[in-house]
This record gives sequence, C-alpha cells and structure tokens, in this order.
Amino acid sequence: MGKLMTVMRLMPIAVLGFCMAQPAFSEMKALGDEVLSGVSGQSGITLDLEAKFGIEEAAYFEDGNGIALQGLRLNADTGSGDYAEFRILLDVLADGTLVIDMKSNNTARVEIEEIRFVDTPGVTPVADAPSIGGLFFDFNLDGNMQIRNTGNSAMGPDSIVGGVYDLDFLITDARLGYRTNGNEFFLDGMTLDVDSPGTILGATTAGELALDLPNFLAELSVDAIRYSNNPNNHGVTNDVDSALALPSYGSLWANLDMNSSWRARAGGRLGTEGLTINSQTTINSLDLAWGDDTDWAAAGYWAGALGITGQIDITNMTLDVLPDPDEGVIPEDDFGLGLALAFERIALGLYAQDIVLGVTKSDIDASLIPGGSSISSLGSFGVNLVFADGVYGGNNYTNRIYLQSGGNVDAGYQGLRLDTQLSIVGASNESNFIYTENGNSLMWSGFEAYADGDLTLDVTAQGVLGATEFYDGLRLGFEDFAFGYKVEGLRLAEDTGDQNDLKASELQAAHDFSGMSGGLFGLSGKPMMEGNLNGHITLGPGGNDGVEGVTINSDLALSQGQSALYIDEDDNTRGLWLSGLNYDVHLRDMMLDVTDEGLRIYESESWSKMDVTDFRIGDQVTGASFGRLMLETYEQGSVSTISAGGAGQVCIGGSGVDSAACTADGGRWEDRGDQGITVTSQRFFKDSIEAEGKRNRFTWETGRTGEGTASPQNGTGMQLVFDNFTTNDGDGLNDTYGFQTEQNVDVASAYVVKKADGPDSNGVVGNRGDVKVMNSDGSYRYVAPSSLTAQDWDDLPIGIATRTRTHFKELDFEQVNLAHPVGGESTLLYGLKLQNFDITTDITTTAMD
Amino acid sequence: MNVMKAIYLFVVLVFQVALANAEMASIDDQDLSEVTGQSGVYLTGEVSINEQGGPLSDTYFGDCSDPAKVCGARISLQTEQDGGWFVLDNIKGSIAFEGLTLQVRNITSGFGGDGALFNRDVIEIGMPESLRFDDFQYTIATSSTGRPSDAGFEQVDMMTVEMSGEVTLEGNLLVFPTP
Repeated sequence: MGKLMTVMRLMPIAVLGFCMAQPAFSEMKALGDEVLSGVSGQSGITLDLEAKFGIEEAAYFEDGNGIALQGLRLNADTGSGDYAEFRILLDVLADGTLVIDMKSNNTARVEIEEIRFVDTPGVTPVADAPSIGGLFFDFNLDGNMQIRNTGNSAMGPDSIVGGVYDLDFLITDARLGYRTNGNEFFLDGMTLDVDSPGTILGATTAGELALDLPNFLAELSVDAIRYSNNPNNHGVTNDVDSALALPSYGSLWANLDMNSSWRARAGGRLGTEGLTINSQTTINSLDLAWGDDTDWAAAGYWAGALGITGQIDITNMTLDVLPDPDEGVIPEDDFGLGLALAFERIALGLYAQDIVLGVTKSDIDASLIPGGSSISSLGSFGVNLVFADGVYGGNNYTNRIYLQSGGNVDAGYQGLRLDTQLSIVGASNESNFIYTENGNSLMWSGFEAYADGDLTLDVTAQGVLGATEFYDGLRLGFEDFAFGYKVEGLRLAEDTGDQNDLKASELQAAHDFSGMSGGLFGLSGKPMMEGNLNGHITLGPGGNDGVEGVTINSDLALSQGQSALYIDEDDNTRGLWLSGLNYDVHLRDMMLDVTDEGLRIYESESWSKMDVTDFRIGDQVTGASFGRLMLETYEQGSVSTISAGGAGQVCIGGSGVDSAACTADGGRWEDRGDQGITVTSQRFFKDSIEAEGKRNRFTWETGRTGEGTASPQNGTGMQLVFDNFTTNDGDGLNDTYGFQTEQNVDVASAYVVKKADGPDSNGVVGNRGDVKVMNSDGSYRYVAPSSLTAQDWDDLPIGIATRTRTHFKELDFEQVNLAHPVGGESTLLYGLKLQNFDITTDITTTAMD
Repeated sequence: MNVMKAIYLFVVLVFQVALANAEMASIDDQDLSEVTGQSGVYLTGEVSINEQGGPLSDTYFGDCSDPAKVCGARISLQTEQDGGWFVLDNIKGSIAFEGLTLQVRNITSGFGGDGALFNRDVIEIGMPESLRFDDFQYTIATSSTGRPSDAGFEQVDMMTVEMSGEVTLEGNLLVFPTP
C-alpha cells in the first residue's frame, strides 16, 4: 500500500520530469547573474526551461490495434525551430506540501500533426493515409500546483491511494485548433482560468484509476472563433499573405462551477484490453454564451444559457480500438479501425434558468452578480435525456460511436468520421424537454429517439472536389444517417420547481410548433419525425450584420421519412401523419447574427421541396390518406428573428388598450407576461428558375394507381397545382415587403368553457358556459363566469397561447392547374391574387376533458 | 401563420367544403356522449382580418378611417384567359370562438348502425358553442383587372355581406379521406 501510494503521488512529478528530461537536459544553460538575482531570497529550486522536441509517433495499443499520435511536437508558436520557454519553481513547505509553480516566458505550441489508427507501431505512414487530422494548442501558462502531504492513509469511501492536488492555473493568449487538408478551425485569443482545490488523483483498492474534482471552477473566454482556408496559415490571427484578420464566428464565454468524480478500470467492451469509465458530475452553475461583434462590455450582442444546473452520470463507458462494424458486412461502408466509444447509460439532466438572445455582456454580468439586475429572457429551458439500450420502431439500438479517420472521402485524406448509433429512452418519461416562462411550464413528455449512421467532420474550403461541392467552414456531413424521435404528448402546469409535479400533470395531445418554416426549418417543431438523412451543413464565419457571425451553406436530403402534425396522447400510433416524406433543402449563405432584437437569420437564397406521399389520418401505417402533398419553395433575402418575450398583454374577442377598454368591448384581457418566444419573419417568394429546379408550387395529387394501398404510384393521379406563387408590393413589379409574420408563443392561462350541462368525461359536474378552474391538487372544478374570483383567474388551466400576425401586400399565384398524366393539363385559374392582407390569429390550445 | 400552415389550413378547408359537407350529419346525444372523454385539444381564441387595415396604401387601398379607400383584404381570381376577375373584396372583421376541439376519432358505432359499417378514422372538429362575429364583412364583385392599380381597372360590387353578433354552433365536423 505504502509503495503504491508513493508511486501515485510521485506520478505527476515523474510525468513532468519525463517531459522535461530530454529537452531540458539538452537545452540546460547556466543561470546568468540576472536570473540568479531574480530568485535570490527564495527557497526551493528554480528551473528555466527552453524546450522543443518532436516525437514521430506515440501510440496507444490495446488488443493489437492502436491509435497513433504522429508528429507530436512542443515548441514556441513562432515556429518548430523555436524554443518554448518556461520557468519552474519547486518548493516544499513546512507541512510537507510540494509546491510547483510554472510560468511561460513565451507562447508555447503543442501539436499533433496526424491522428491515425494503426495495427503496427512505428511504421512510417503513407503520407495520404486516412487521418483524423491535426490538433494544435498554443498557450501561455501561469500555474500553481500544490501536492498536499496527506500521510499514508487511504482517502474517501473508495479508499483512494494517491495524492491531493490544489490546482490553480491561468492560460492566456491561447489557441486551440483543428486542421484538415490545409484548412483550420480554431479558438483564438483564449483565456482559461482554472481553480481546482482538493483534486484527488490515485487508485482505489479495487484497482481503478480515480480522479475526483470536488470543487472545480473554470472560466473560459474566447475572443474569436476563427477559420482559415489558406494552407500557409497555421495558428495565426491574421492571414500571413493578406495580413487581414481571419474571419470570425464570434466570441465564446463559459463560467463553470462543478464537482465530478471519475473512475477508470482496465478492460473495454471487447477483447481483454481497453478502458471502462464511470463518472458522476454535478453542475452547480454553468453560464454559456456566444457573442457577436462584441467588445465584451456594452457593444455587440450575445446569445446564451445562464444559470445552468444539473447532473451528468456516465455508466460503463468503454474505450477500445476496433475495426469498423461494417467490416465484412458492407464493404463500401468499412472505414477501417476506429476508437470505439460505447456506454451502457448516460443520464443527463440540465436546467438553464435563463435563455437570453440579444443582450450585451454587460447585461449578462450585471444579471449574474447576487442581487443583480434582471435580464430579458425567453424563459427557462430544461432537458432530461437518458441514453441507454432501447427499442424504437421494433428495432434494437445501443449507444456507441466509432471515431474513424478520413472524414468525407472527397474532402481529402484528413477528417473525422463518426460511425454512430445512439438510443434515447423515454418510456417512463425519463427523457423530456421543459420550457418554463412566467411561472408556467410546458413539457414535451416521454421523448424517445435513435440515430444510426455516419457523421463526418471536416474543415473545408470552397470548391468542387471529386463529385462534391464544398464550402468554406466546418462541415458536418450526414451519410445514410437514419434517425427518429417522438414524444408521448405534452404536459402543461404551473411551475412548482419540482419536475415531478409537471410529470404528474395531465397528458395532452402533441402537435407541431412550426414557428419557422422553409429552408432548414421546414420540418421543425414536429412531435415525431424519422427518416434517412444525407448531405451536409457547413458552418462558415461571418454574418450579415457586422463582421462576425455564422454563415451556413447546406444541402440536405431527408428520404423515406415520416412526420407527425398531431399525435393522440392515448395512442401514439394515431394522429395526422406526413408519410412517405422526402424533403430536399438547399441553403446558400444563410447568415446568423445576434442583434439587439435577438437571433437574426438572413437567407441569401434557399430552395426546398417537401414531397409527402400520403397525408394520413388515424393509424400511423394503415390510416386512410388524403393523397399526396408537395410543397416547393424558392426564396431570396428572407429574414427571420427569434427574440425574447411573447405576446404580452392582449385583448381576445374585442379591442382595447387596457383591461377596462377590452372588457367594455366584449373582449377578455390576458396578460401573458414578459417572457415567451417571438419569431418574426419576412419572406420573399421569387419567380421560378426552371433550369435550376427552383420554384414556389403546391401540388395535391389523388386518385393514383394503387391509391389506398401501401405503395401508391406518385405521378399517376390527378393533380391540383397552385403554381409559381410569388410575393410583390401590390404592383407586380417590386418586392420589398414580402410575406411577413410575427408569431408570439407563450405558456399561459387558457380560458376553457364547459360545452354541456352535467358531468364531463372525468365526472366533474358543471353547467354549460362554466369556466374550468384548477385546484391545488391538480383536480379541477367549474365556476360560473360571473362568480370567478381573482384567485380563480390565476388558477385557470395552462395552455399554449400562440398569437400570429401575418401580413403581405400581394401573394400572386401565376396559375392553378389540373393535371393528369393521361388526360393532360388544363388551367383552372389563370390568375389568383391575394392583396392587402393583415390577419391576426390568437389561439390557445389546452387539453380536452 | 406561415405558408405551410396556411396551405394545410387551406387544404383542410377545401376538405371541409368538398368532403365534409357532403358527409356532414347531425350527431345524436348518444354519439356525442361517445365523444366525451376522448383525447384531443381544446382551442379558444380569435381570428381577425384587417381590423386596422392592410399594408397597401395607394389610390384604392388605404386607412379604414378614409371612407374613400378600401382597407380590407382582397382576393381576385381569373377563370378564363384574358377574361375578367371574380373578386372577394374588402374582407375584414374578426371572429372569436371558445371551445373548438380537434381530435382524431375512430368511428366504429353509432349513426344508426352506419358507424360499424364506416369503421374509419376521421378528423373531428368539435364546433364551438358560440362564434362571435365582430363587424365581419366582405364584398362580392367582378373586376376587369386583377389589381385595382392595373390600367383600365373597373369593378362592379355585386353585394356586401356583414355579420355581427353571436352564432351558436353545435355538433361536430367530421373530415375524412375518400378513396
């Protein structure tokens, strides 16, 4: 025991010594008088270290396969020939505590040129053999580590033998980058301040490696998230050829307070070697934000999640180096060895107190100090997810990710491929999403999901390589990526602070929330969706407002899909379904910025085609079909903004600027609070470009060959076609106004009126016209409208209140046709014009009794 | 409301007109009792059109306070090439409702024995007890051009419909596909 403890305690020193040994000795110099004068009067040992070294390959092997870090180097960030300089002070305090201070004298760079998977160590790799790519980390370190003298006894309930370390270090002027095929994506101007007192590193008596972080505090600031497509650049802020600052996605800030406990033991999922990890992490506080064109004070705006708390528990996560699971099964999908990360269970529960959009860093800072000012917020958002083996759609899924080398095959030899299978279980409502605003909560209950397919990650540059067109930025690719998710329904209730109360509230049917539509958002907000995804989303730097932001180029194709518009809460196989769903969407230079109004999305050009083979009612598979629906859209210059705050005060069924005026007009005054979500959009539907397949058209087809069967033949029936619809300013010439929508979504009180005398379906008696009022125990009663008290008004049921204002000067349909493959096409309407529309709908949905 | 929603709503409305009306039948109390206790959503709210006017302002459209201008919405359609236009003009007003319900219902019984033969799923739209019309109006007209701003524009207003007050609606609207 004593020997083991000694070994564990000295391990960090040994590692440090090993790192220092070769370079330090080779570069050791006599201390000059000036340096010696700097340490005079201090105790301990001072080392000035100038280091540069390179390791051709460092590999971890298990069960005969290895992951190799090739071209591993340490030097100054100015070049591989320059020394990284450090000053290290070693001292032993009177109580036996070993103190190690380490300070950089210049910016050091640690770099891994290639990460590859190998089956034989030390073999010189073929230059263009598949690789994950390179990583680099530049840093200036000013740190302190104290290794406490804790005696020879074991620590804690797990009897950990090892050391207790007080860590306190500051990393400044840092860069952390990922490089593939000459392109780089990196965090620039990074500052990381870490304080982790009482860190325990050792081994348990059960033979597990133990790491405990009982009080881990960290703050991360990133001045700019940058991108370079110039191979001459490597870890620089300004382009070496043009001297211009490299484009930026914006800034990043995170502030974390957590405690965490990790255990690792030998042996993976397969074979005799590998690693198995268990951990429990409690997030005491996490603030996370993305800034756009910010000065980190009153200029520029941020989007973020503040006051995040929660728990993340990992059970039996294994690490192995394994061949592709498609080896010998699907040869074309075999991408060789990979790092297989699998886990038995991950339970994640996080709750963000405030979701903010369009606030300054000064606003954020002021809101986070105790007793600080309030901040404009969408409300709170919670997520509970349990990743575990599960069954979805009759198929078994597990959780495992193979990290493989190569990325997209056309992008070059470097890149990352994730052969992924994920399973989220929610049959007992262990997985769900919660949105809370102004004291009312909405839960997407019983969330279940799976994913199975390949993801690729590459840093790419604009151009065509092979058969693929690439764009500037970080490219996330989808290759036969099957996915599915569903919820059992919605739950709404007043927020009590206890999620179990919300879980116990009445389940109601789930319906879609299509607050944003078209483009990437054409299928958003559905309570159920599944399909097979191919294509990419490339995130480039730069926005439409200012110099920072995110530019998205994307081509996605969803095939063999299904989606729900409405799901019955009693039987999740019944509802309204978009079956046989195929959806293509193309985005060009869609730019995201955070502005004073919120998150703004500018679509330079987008076009999409949604083809629904059957719009079904009833059973998900066998329900009767209304026929085929097809919607094609083509837009230029459309703008959407997501901002905090809902409808506020509204008058339903009347008009008036205050409660008295509204009531006098026969309306009902509702105050939906200052939180909520507002989505505004201005969309410009453009004239068709036939040669490029871009147009606005809606088609409804029925009477197809095989209609009513599982496989109707599209294109064989009668089609009603609303063709080439466009927007204009009412003159048929200009298009500056577009199709404008403002949608306010609140979780708010719902005014529910009893429709018949006598008992309702739950046996609660009331008269026709009485109003439903909730009791504190979750039951309800009916109260005559004239008898409603102020408390009754506060206790109305909770619903989803959606206020939507749509206005446009002209929506022009070129023609409406009837078409049949045999009978030909005839024009039903030679023109259809909708002018001067300004429609407001104010709908509150809640559960039926 | 986005285009997708508008189109779905339009489709539903088309179905209501083309199909549901043809299949609409009064439901007796027994059938109604079978409906209660089923799942679905309850909707309350209002729809208002051009209550404060629309976005166009020209020689034809304008502010609602200007009696010389039309402030309502306008739909024009042309059924013959180079022909005239049917017009629904000056559409404005509001409709408030409480108690509209929506659910998917499986009909296997009732309806004097026809339910068992029917044995299908329908979209059941439960009528609100009351609809409150507030100065809801529209004008039926014919026009020589699609837009009032087009050259040679002439329009004949044939009739104007105005509705105010409460309308009682009972029963359900059933919407289902026909094979």
